[in-house]
Amino acid sequence: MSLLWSRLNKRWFVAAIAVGMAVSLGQIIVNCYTGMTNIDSPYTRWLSINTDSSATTIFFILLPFLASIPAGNMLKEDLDSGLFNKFKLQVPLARLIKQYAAMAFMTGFVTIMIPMLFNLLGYLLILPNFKPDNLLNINIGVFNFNTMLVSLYYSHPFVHACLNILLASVWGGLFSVFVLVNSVWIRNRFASLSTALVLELILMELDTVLPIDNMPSISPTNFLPENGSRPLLWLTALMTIVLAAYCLGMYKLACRRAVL
Amino acid sequence: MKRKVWLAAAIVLCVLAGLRYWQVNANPVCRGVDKEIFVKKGQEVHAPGIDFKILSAKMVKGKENVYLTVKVDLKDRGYYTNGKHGIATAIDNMYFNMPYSISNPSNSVAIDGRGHKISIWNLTNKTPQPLTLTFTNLRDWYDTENFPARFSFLVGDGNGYKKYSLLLE
Repeated sequence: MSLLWSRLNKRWFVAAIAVGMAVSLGQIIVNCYTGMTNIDSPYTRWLSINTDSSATTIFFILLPFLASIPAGNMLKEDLDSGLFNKFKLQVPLARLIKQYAAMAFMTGFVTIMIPMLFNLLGYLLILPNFKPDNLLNINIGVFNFNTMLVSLYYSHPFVHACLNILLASVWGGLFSVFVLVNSVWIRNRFASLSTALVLELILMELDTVLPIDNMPSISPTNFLPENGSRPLLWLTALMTIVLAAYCLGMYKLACRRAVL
Repeated sequence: MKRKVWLAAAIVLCVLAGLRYWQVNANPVCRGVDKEIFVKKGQEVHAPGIDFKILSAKMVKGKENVYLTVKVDLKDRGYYTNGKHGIATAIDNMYFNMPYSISNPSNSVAIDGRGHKISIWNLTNKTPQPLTLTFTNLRDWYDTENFPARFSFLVGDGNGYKKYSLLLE
């Protein structure tokens, strides 16, 4: 792992986190100047709950792209440049490819986790920490049809927020691995880097155009925010498993391709 | 050396953040809803700034809507919530509460003690009591609620809120 960590281009890693941080900091600044009332707590204002703000939309649409910038393309680049063959001499092949995937997952995870944690902790330093209430804070619009585990939100909002960050970060990691396993098959570097973004946009489109009434959301931009739009717990779990299964299956194929 | 500088900076930042957190939470403007107090029909309740008694509460489940009629006797002793005073504000803070579906405030027309219709925004301390309030909510939202439906009344006490609830079922 340390081999790949030293190989990782830290500048891109920092840049991706910086973009996320800029969005989450911008959300705090805009919120500080507009519409904060004294019934607000961190849990009614932070990035993931305040879906009215454009920063939230930007963050969750950019999420797959940001997550895959640091290490999504690394395997492909090393295969092209021949660095992979050099590493092969030092580390057993199966473990080497596994390390590439692990690196992609971890960098994607961290790239999403840091800005969201920063935003939540930032609000804890601005607003008093108390539980939201379904009548007092009725204006934020957190109901059982747009928030998963809504009882947990009203009883233990910090735990709910942490679970939400975990979910978004896992999706960041999975998107990064998604790019990694696809990049082996795609020649153009930018095209492979944006496959995760394209996947998300396709899901967003499908979510809108599929002619099913009251369809629970299949688009990560809808179910990843805490205050989403028509999320459903088991469907979200299913989507996560499907994406993970795709990554795992393609990973096996990518291994075979990389060996050749 | 460089690592030590980073470590020192991180520790200083954590301490500053801790102090700031303590400062924000030491004496906040609002503590949110402290607790939910369950009341019974006909019980005389002495809430901060207001005395009230729920005389009757009847919920009717229709095919598309759920209707709630509540007869409540209010005695204002300086009710103050969300920066506003008076009976009209008190009515504003009564809800047909269906956690965690959408909860609705009262319909805009109430009936006063003499049987006259009156807009809830025109209610004053001189309006004859008891008031009859009506609430309407969608049947779908009733069917998907997580906890039993209730009639809830938010009362501010200084920097917090108390929620008085009457279970309807």
